[in-house]
This record gives sequence, structure tokens and C-alpha cells, in this order.
Amino acid sequence: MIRCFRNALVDGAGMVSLAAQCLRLTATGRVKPSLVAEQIFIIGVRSVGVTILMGLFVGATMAIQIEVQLRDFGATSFLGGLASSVSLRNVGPVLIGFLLAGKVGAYMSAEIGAMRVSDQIDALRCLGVDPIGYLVAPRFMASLVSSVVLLMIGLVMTVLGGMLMADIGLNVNYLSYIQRVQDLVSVSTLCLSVLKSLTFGAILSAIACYRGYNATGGFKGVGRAVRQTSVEALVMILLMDLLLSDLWSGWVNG
Amino acid sequence: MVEFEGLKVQFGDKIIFENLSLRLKASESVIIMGPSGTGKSVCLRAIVGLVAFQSGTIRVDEIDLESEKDAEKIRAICGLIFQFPALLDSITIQENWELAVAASLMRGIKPFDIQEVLDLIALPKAILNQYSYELSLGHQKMAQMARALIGKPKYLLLDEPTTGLDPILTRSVNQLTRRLIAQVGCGVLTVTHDMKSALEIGDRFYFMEKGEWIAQGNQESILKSQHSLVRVFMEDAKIRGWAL
Repeated sequence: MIRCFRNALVDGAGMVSLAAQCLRLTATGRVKPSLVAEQIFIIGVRSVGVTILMGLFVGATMAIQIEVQLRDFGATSFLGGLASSVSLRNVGPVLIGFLLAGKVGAYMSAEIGAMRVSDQIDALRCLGVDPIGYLVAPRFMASLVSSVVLLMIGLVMTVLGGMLMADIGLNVNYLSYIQRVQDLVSVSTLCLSVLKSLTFGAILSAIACYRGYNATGGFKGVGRAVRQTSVEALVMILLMDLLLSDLWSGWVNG
Repeated sequence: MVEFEGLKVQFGDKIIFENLSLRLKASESVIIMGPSGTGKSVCLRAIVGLVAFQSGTIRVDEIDLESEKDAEKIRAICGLIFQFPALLDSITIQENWELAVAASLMRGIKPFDIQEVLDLIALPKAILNQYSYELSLGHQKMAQMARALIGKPKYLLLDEPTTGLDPILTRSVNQLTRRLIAQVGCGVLTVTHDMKSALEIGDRFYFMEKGEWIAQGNQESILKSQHSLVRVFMEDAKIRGWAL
């Protein structure tokens, strides 16, 4: 138990340190923008489709579930506001974070891990190329940027998905749906969404890069790194969601 | 000169080797042989600071390996060729080489350019636009060797350079190694199981078993060695046409 706790602390510190190193290298101009752009294309652009789909499904599901509750009170006119608020504040960021943990996180840790166990990272060191600056930082930054952008796209899609479902399947006019979104979704809700997106993106990137970079034990070790990335990212996303929701509501409510 | 003395490397509780010493001069070819898993490759990795050592000293041209900074200086003069070609597979061979060119310039070394390297290792130009996974193992190994040569290393550390190669490519690698020693003045330290190649390129030999040198010397003394392990390797060379 103590050993587990100690390992978790060491790994946590390692992730923070790696993330800080990546940010420092980027801030000091030692990471080529072209490498980051290339990774944004691989990690981010290629994930837009699935994120849109996921956002639409989440929004539509939320609309259906909330409409059932509101119908009992004759308050279906509030559907747009409530469904969007819940999606933006909580369900949207978490579910899209999960999707990215599975897609982006697993891809990154597998790629960096494979490079580690096949000596590509050591070969770079031998050549005099900093593997953090050349391999890890561009992926970290690309993943961070992509995660945030994808989460934002996903959140917009949740609102759209809810609106489409309401209009087509639940007899709630889309104009009235949008009207209620404006009424019930405050700037504070949007800020919380953005904050969660940023946090989840950073957590996901740090875990994936750290696990991949420290993969050991051949290709079995790569599998282990991917598994650790997925599990740890999911747990940390939920934990941070809880913490941020709690802190935010405390701060907003004075 | 590359030299290590009284070297001990330990992974966890397992001692890989201890009290191991070796010297490699410029324009010299030294061979390390022995069964798998005895720590031969670890020797090479320790020299360039990829593996930490517990005691002893490693020195390359007056640079004592004591920190990562020293390791970086050593890596600038020692090129390590990995057993399995460690080319970046997300970029083409040309981009791999260009990376080495850029890194050499950063180190203040005037590197070979791509054409010079192509001429040196006699690889077809067509490989430049290919990815490492599109090449045969032999071409991957040659491309990796070329990448290491771009920075004009003074010493080359070769980890099983001919394992898995056909006889033609094996001959090419051996000829290239001899050329590097004779024309460029490289010191070459090779880990291999291929006794025939070892006899073709080696000036001095070290046989390792269970983390210790069990036989060492020049070609003549190794050929006369009666040690059972050395004889096993000799038999292999004999089968493959070496006139003993």
C-alpha cells in the first residue's frame, strides 16, 4: 500500500516535471512549430469527425433524458437551457475527455513507447538530439492544443445535438430551445467548460507522454504504458471534474 | 582512446559484469565476442552513457564520464550503432540523415553531406525517400550506420552489425568498417557473434562469458586459444569458410 502510494507520488511528480519541461522548451523556442503543426494534424484534425459524432450523441441523449424529467412538471420549455447547461458543465467535457483519452492518449503513449523500446529515443540522444524537445514536446503541445480545441468543438456539438433531438424527436422548437440556452447558460458555465477542457487536455497529454517515454520491457511494456495511460487519464479526468465542479460552485456562490 | 577500467554495471540486484577493463585506440578494431546475455551490448551503452555504471571509470579522449554533460561530449565523438536499426520510423531515411546533419552542426562539427554518405556506404539513392519499415533489415542497418557516420565520429561502437544480413551485405559492412579504420582513422569496437566477420575486421579480441573476459589477445593468440568457448566460435567461422 505504502509502495503504491510512493509510486503514485513519483509518477505524479514525473508527469508534472515532464509537462513543465515541454512547456519550458516550447516557451524558449526550442520546439519547432512545424513539428507541433504536424502533430496537431495527426492527433487533432483526424479526431474532429469522431468528436463531432460523440458531441451530437451526448447532446441528443441529454435532451431525451432531461425531457422525460421536465415533462412530469410541464416544464419542457426549459429543456434547451437545462440540457445545454448540464452538457457544458459536466457530461460533455467528461465524455469527450474519455474519448480523447482512448484515442489521442493511447495513440501518443503507444507511439512514444514504441520509440523508447526500439532504441529510437536512445539513438536520438546519441546523435545529440534532445528527445524531449524533438519527440515529446511537439506531441505534448499538439495534444494539449488539440484536446482543448476538440473539447470545445465537442461541446458546441452537444448543444447542437440536443437542439436537433429536441426539434425532431421531442416537439420542442429549436428557436425556443436556443432561447432557453441563452437564458440558462451563463458566462460562468462557459468559463467552467473552458477550464475543464484545458485541465483535461493538460492531464491527458502529461500522462500519455510520461507513460510512453518511460515504457520499459519491450513491446509488452508499450501495452502496459497504453493501459496505464487510459486508466489513469479516466480516473484523473473524473477526479479533476469533481474538484473543479466543487471549487467552481463554491467560488461562484460566494 | 576509449578505455574503461574496473567497470561494474548492475541492474537491480543483478550484476551484469564487474571489474571489466578494455582499451580501444584510434585506427584500431577491437572485437567483443561471447554468448548472448553476457553484457557485451551493455559495455557499448555504458561507454556513451546510456547505461549507468556503479563503479570503475570510463574515459574517452581525456573525457571522464561522470555526468550527462560528459556523456553528451562522448556521444559527439563516439557513434553507436544499435543491434536493431533505431531509425526514426515516422520520417524518411533522408529526414533521418538530415536530422543527424543538423545535430552535428549544433555540436560544431562539419558533417558529411547526404551525397558523401551515400557514396561512402554505397546504398541506392532510392532509399532516401523511403521509411525505415519499407527497407530490408540489411538496408536499415546500413542506413543506421550512415546516420551515425554523418557526424564523423572518431570511434564507432557497433552492436552486432552483421547479424541477420546476407553474405553480400555482410561483406559490404566489413569492407566499410575496414575502410573507416584505414582511411578515416576510426577506432571501431564491435560486439558480434559472427566469428568470420570478426576475424576479417578485428585487430584485438575479447571473449566474454558471465560478465568476465575469459580470453583476449590479437588474432594470432585467439586462433591458438584452446578455451572451449573460443573454439566453439572458431568452429562456426571454419564452417563458414574461414581458413584456420
